[in-house]
This record gives sequence, C-alpha cells and structure tokens, in this order.
Amino acid sequence: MWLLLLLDAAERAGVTPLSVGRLHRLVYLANAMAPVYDILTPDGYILKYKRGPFFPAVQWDIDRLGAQGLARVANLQRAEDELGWWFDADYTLTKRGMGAVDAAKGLTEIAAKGSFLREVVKAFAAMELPEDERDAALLGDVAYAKADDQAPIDFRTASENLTSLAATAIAGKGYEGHQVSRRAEVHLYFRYLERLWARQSGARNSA
Amino acid sequence: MRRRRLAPAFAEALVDVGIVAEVRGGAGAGVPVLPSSDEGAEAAFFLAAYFYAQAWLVEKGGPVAGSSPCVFVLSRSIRQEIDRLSAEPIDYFKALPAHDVRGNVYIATEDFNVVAKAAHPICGSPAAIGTALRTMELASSLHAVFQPDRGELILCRLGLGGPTSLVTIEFGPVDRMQPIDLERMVWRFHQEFTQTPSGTLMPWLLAGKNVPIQKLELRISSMLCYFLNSKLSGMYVSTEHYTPHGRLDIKVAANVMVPEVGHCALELKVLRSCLPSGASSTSYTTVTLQAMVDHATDGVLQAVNYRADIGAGMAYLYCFDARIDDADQAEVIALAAAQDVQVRRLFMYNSPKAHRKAMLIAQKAGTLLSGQVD
Repeated sequence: MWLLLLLDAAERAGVTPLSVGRLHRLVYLANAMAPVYDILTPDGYILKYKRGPFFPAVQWDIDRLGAQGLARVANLQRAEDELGWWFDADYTLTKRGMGAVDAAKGLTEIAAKGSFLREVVKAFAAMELPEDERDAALLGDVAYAKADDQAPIDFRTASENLTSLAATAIAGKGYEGHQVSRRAEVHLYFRYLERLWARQSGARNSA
Repeated sequence: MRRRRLAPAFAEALVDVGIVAEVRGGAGAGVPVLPSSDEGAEAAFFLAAYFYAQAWLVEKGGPVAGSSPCVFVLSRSIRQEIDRLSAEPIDYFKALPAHDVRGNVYIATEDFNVVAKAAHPICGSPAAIGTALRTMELASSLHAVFQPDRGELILCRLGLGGPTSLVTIEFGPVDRMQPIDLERMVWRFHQEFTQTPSGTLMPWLLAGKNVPIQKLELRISSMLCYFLNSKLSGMYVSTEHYTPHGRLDIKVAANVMVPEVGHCALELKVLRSCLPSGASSTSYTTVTLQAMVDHATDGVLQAVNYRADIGAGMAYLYCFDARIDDADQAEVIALAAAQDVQVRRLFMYNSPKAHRKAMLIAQKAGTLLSGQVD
C-alpha cells in the first residue's frame, strides 16, 4: 500500500511519471522521514549504491503493481553507461490504482500514511530546482551523503535514523521560537536539501 | 556486538549550519499552512484559487465588466490529464496574474504549482463551464469558478450538482484584529459552512436524525483555515499545528492580531448526539450528553495547553454543536471561565426551517443565537 500511496501522492503533486531513480529516492526519503510522523519505517536498511538508493523489494512490488493493473509501466529500457548495465522505466498510477487508494483511505491508518507521503512528495515538488536537478539534490540526504559506497545505511529504529534526527535538528526550536509542526520538519528538510544542492552546484560551477 | 546509539547531537553535527540558518531564516515561508490530507487539499486549492483571483483583480484594478468566467479544477493526476485533455501547461502561472484567464478551463494541483489550460472553446457563462466540465469528464471534480466581472468565486466541493458557495473576493490591507473581529469571522464561517445542512461543508450525513458526517472536525478546521486566510489576504492562519501536548486545530498568527493579544489558539470540537457507526451508510450509534461534556472539557484543557505551548495571548474553544438540543454545557463554561478560555458554541441546525424558527425565537426574546456575534 505504501507504494500505491506514494504514486498517488506523486500524481497529485504533478511529479509523475516517476522514473526508476526518482521512485527509489522518494521511497528512501519517505522511509527515512517516517519517524517524523510517528510512522514505522517500512524498509529501513539499504546499501549505498552508485546510482542512488535502490530497494530490490520495492522494485519487485512496483512491477507486481504493474502486472495487477494498478500501476502503469512505460518506456522500459535497458542501457549501458560508465557505471555498467542498468534499466529505466516510467511509472504512473492507473485509474484502477486510484480506486484502490480511495478504497483503502477509509482506514484511519492508511489515511495517516497517505497524508504523510503526500507531504513528502509535496515538499519534493516544491523544491525550486530545475527538473533534472531535483532528483540529484535528494542525494544530499545526511545519512546517504555520509555513508561510504556499498556501505549499509540502517535507519530501522528512530534513534539510529540520521535523516529524521537531522530533520528535527534543522527545524530546531522553530522559526517562531516554539515547537515546529511535523509538517514544517518535512518541508524544511527538503528546503535544506534544495539549498545544499544549490550551494554545491555553485561551488562546482566556480571550480 | 553492541549497536552504536546515535544521539540527535550527532545528526545535528552532520548538517551545514549556514544552510540551516538560511532555512530557518525563511520564517516558515513555503511551509504549507494546511496538511496534505483530502480535507487539507480541498481547502488549499480553494485558497490558491482565491489568492490567484484576488491578484488578477488587483492587476486589473477591480472587476472587469463583460468578462467571461473561468474555472479551476483540482486534478487528481495532472500529468495524465494534461495528456488526456491536450492541455497546455502554463509556466509560472501563480506569478502571472496578468494572464488572460477569461473563458478558460484550467486543471491544477492543490497549490497551483502546476496549472494547465485545457483545449476547449471559450466559455461565455457559468452554464457553458458546466457543459465543458461534463464534456471533459471533470463534472465530479472539485472546482472553483472565477467570475471576473463580479469579483466572485463559486466554490464547488463535490463537482457539478453538489453544494456551492459564492465568495466575494475582498481587497485591501488587513487591520490588526481585536478578538471580537476574529469571532465575527468565525461566526460568518459558521453561517456559510456549517449552520444549516446546505452549508458549503454539507455537515450532515443524516440531518433528520442528527447524524453528522465522519471526520467533521478535520473538515471544519481545514475549511476554517481556508476561510480565515482568504479574509485576511495572507497565510496567517495554520491548521494541525503540532505542539508537545498534541495537535492545535487552528493557530492565528500574532501579526494579524492587535499586539496585546498575540497568537490565538483555537481548539475545535464537534458535539454530537449521534455518531455514524460505519456499518452502513445509514447506521449510527447514540452518544450520551455526559460524553459530550467530557469531550468539551477535554477541549478546554487542550486549549490551555496549546495556549502555553505557542505562547498565545488567547485561547478559544469552538464547539460546533450537532446535538439534538441547543443547550449550553454549564460545567464546561464554568471550567473555561476558571481557566480563562473563551468558549463559543455554534449550533448546527438540522434544517433551514429549524434555523428560521430559532432566529424568530431569539428575535422575540431580544437575544442572539448561540455563539452569534452582532
């Protein structure tokens, strides 16, 4: 359901179709930020991969959703580049998938997860970066950026989840000196990634 | 092997303090005032339509006689609908109030970050817009019709055939409000959205049996947030504001209140006699009077906590009263008075006739309806 809700959120925010890269990066950040909304992280272990976050189980799930007619898979292609063989595809939610999401949202727990995922995707959609740079900016996530290549990133428990801890730290005591909302924590973290990317891009361009 | 425990301080050490200062320095700009729930998305969309229409009218110097209406439709999957409707995405739409919107059909995301103009002949009237929406299979979509000649928006939550609300677009700088001004606005919201079954929120599931819809509190807080922000011409009111003691329903920022008041905390409760059971569309269970006293009592205590959490000068408990009998809760009023919380009870009539009757009785008695501000 997590994946269907994420696709639904992406449709609503206008950031579809989701490429393989964007899909897995959004899943990664959504999983990592789940503690901000007191939601259990569905898949909190990943190896840092040269092409960005990739969850084999998620790939299995999205392909299955495609086979079930809940998601649409388009532009599936293989390619070889300097990193080796890879594949890409574009994912959207079908009408049937939207119906499934609507039916499931009647359950309070699903509705809560749906709201959280929509917030994450909305924050991503609001990043003021060129379309092709938004995905790259997500790799500035504190946990991902600090991990060594091929090293594990483990955020199964909230106390070890650097991303959600960083989101809380960034929001701090808040822009008004009071407790910030969890919605603000999500949006301010994405704004942080946006600014970080912009600064690093500036440094790269001037080098 | 013992697992290493990561302290928040470690995470804090990993972030760039300069960028953190930039992000925090934005004073929260860009953080949506409404949540991304269904209810929040509806209210956010109406707010975006309102602010766009307001900016458009300011650009033109006011309503433009002879202008055709246009419509903004909330899209569930805008990229797919752009293809389906051969719509033309418009870059920077929100920032271009000079755009000639007259007679057009637009599909948009809830925040107007993506807007596209559908390929359709110019619509000369609201009726033509209705026809266009049916043709484009958008009839059941939430939408807002902008009438540039009248300076009005027609809000349609449930698509064509559903309830509509006519909103006059207002201009001008907002004076800082006294608490009574805020109370007037909330009363006006109640009149338009919740006072009767045909109010914009359509608050009743079974009006004749006094059964309100599910999630009514969430719907009220989202639409009240939309309503207040539209009247204040800015994002001064936020909803679902999280504090250490829970979720504050409505926070009105200090910068629209007179200095001696500061922030205002509004806790919302729905008082019920009946609750939909969910077993079927017509099944419900009854709720005791005492349970609603307990519910409102909790609201008073929440308001006290939230007032302290956000450093507010005032705290309100607004009870949207969907019970059978229009009666005050003496225990709640006494507790609120002791805690310096303002309680306002807004009665929801289960028919227009019941509302008219109550008004007549109040007029004869020289009093006001519950929660009414003159």
